[in-house]
Amino acid sequence: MTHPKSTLEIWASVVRREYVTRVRRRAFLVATLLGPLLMVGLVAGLVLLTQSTEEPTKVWVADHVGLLTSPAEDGQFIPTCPTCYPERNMLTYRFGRDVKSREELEAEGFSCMVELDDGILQSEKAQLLHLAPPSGRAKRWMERDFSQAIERVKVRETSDLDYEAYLALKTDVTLVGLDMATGERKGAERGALGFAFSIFMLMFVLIYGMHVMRGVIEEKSNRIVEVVLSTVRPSTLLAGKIAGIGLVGLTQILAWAVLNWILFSALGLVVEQSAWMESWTATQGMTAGTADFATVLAAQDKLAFLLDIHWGVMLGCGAVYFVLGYAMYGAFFATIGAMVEQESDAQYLLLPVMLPLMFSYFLASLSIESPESTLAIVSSFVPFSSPISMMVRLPMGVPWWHVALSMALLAVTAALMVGLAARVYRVAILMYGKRPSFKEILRWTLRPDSGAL
Amino acid sequence: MPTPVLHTQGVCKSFGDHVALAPLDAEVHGGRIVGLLGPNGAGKTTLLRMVTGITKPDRGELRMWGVPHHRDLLTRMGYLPEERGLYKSMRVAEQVLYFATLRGMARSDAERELKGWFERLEVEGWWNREVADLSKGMAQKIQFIATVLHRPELLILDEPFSGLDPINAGLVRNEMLRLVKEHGTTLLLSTHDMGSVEALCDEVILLHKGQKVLSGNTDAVREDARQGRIRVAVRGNLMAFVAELGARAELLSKSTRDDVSPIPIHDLELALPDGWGMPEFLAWAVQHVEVLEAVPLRLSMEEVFVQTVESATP
Repeated sequence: MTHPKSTLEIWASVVRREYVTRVRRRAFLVATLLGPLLMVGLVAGLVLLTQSTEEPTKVWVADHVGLLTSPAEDGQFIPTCPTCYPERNMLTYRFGRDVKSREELEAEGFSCMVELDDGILQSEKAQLLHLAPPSGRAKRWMERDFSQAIERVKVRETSDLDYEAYLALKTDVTLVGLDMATGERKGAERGALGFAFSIFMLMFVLIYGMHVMRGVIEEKSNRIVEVVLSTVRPSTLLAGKIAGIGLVGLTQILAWAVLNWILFSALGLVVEQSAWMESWTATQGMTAGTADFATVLAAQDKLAFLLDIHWGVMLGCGAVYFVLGYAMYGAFFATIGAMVEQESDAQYLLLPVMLPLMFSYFLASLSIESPESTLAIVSSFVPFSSPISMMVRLPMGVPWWHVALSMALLAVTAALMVGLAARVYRVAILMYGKRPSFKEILRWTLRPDSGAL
Repeated sequence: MPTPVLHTQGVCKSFGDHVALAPLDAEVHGGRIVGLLGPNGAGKTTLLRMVTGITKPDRGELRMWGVPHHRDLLTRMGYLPEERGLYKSMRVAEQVLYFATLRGMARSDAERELKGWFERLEVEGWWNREVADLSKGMAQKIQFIATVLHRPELLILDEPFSGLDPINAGLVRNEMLRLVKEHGTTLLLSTHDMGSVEALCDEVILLHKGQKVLSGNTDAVREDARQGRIRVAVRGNLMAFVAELGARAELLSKSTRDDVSPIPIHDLELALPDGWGMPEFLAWAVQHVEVLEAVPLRLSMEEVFVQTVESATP
């Protein structure tokens, strides 16, 4: 009634079990469906939270020489350029000639004081004395407001132009990078997008690598592994486990891509139907109904690049890098799992796996600013960092052979790692009550024993 | 002599400096229940792991069904290790079917067979339950089913009754016997429970420190291990009889029955020397006393085990 199965058939059965039991779990369904929503919610929540926890900044401006202020009738002082200080909820100014003591500031509800005198015209520096340091945003606003006010003073004192004429002459040059080979625009936004991708890569490799480790520990600690090994070769079991769990990861990536596309399309529809769209089309001088969501995006300096990104290529390459990178790190995780009997014992063994992952993340963050630097290019070839580093470079456009070579190097390393891991795995998985020493592990890797039948 | 199911010749295995199995020659014949015995660390698990393909011998030849062992033969075996578990996150039937498919069984066949097993072992209603909900005894029964579902020709069971109450142990025992009787299954049973060895095993192989120290038919082994010991009940003058016995045989114990008969009856245990068997002893004894009863003293398997292991330990 039975006929022996080929290694491939057995492997496929193992893959199927690993995949089905995991995909069916409620936790997976919840994470997959709610993941994108949760992320959007988290980002929105974070923005709201930082805004609501930020204390309003009230600034006392001690303008000793009357550089930016003039006396008003009621003995108060008012800014000579009221438009330089737009009304904001989080930032308000009061002006005067004299400094206030700490007690006075406190009593009157000021959180900081700016001292201005003639020197600022040359030094472009002023002192900000604070009781509580203002938020970065408030500080940037203040710097912008004072710069504009000082600029007005300078224009008035040194030229015959009025300020509006000066503004019309004032020029800010922006260099738009254009790749000569691909004709694509490149910018820091693309780096940020790539970095977001690399964070996802790190997350997925880590999460699914840990899944492999837990799966191995489960089999070892509940002793089912001996039954399994009486039919399945350890290397087949290991390869099946890595592949099955990897498929779960790919499923999640695919589901997230589809869900994000749906969310994005829905957002587009909402925007297109909104009253805001009508007024926006009007301000752009377009006929109502001719603009869609893409037009809106294209008009946004910081977002327009999203339309030029080859999402298919990004996702395709991302999936390949995930599969290979995960297989390589998964082999490590499996080896660690085989060496311990419970998860808590694995903690300190994880360090050698976490270090290269964290280091790759660090390299990737450096690559955002200089994606063409030697460091960025080298780290996108080195197999231990390439899945994470290459993700930063990809949105900026990378020569195809860079991707091909980096993938090939990674594939070879991953295969090698799985092979080496299998040598340690098959011995360690049946060892109870004793953790193999580093010497033993080295011996099994270099000189495999007779192993399974 | 038919080809043995399992035949080892000079099979050895070491782990580092530790010799788990010294050169071992052993045979297991088809349709028999063979007990694999030995103290902890004797090399039983090592041998079982070789037979089940988990490890390979360092040296020596391991033949199964007359051919050198290879992986395709593994589907003809069922292995229930001593340390056994189940996947907690799977359903009961799904898990058993998974193992059956790994062992090359078609899913539809496996499902049909499984229904029968669920009835026989009284676990109906557990088909779709989570493994995590199983009691220990229930899990043991499921593991047993997972081991036998694909109708292995060689069934290797390591402590199959541990964790089972007497009723469930009886259920499993009956199924084991049924497989041997109806399907000609060969059973290799590793256990420390000498009672079940006496009750079940046709043959035994006793390992100690990686070596085979005893093997053969269970009754014959128990018989041989008695080393000429017999128990007799005699009526007559004990003092005279013992004096007459002298150095012919060793008197191990004696007791006199408390009854009202005018001539007392004595129960004696004797160890007869080589060459002086029961018939020779009786022929001699009746000349001196009235022999009411004489039986060879059969050792229990437990006594055989202890005696063999102790004499093999320097």
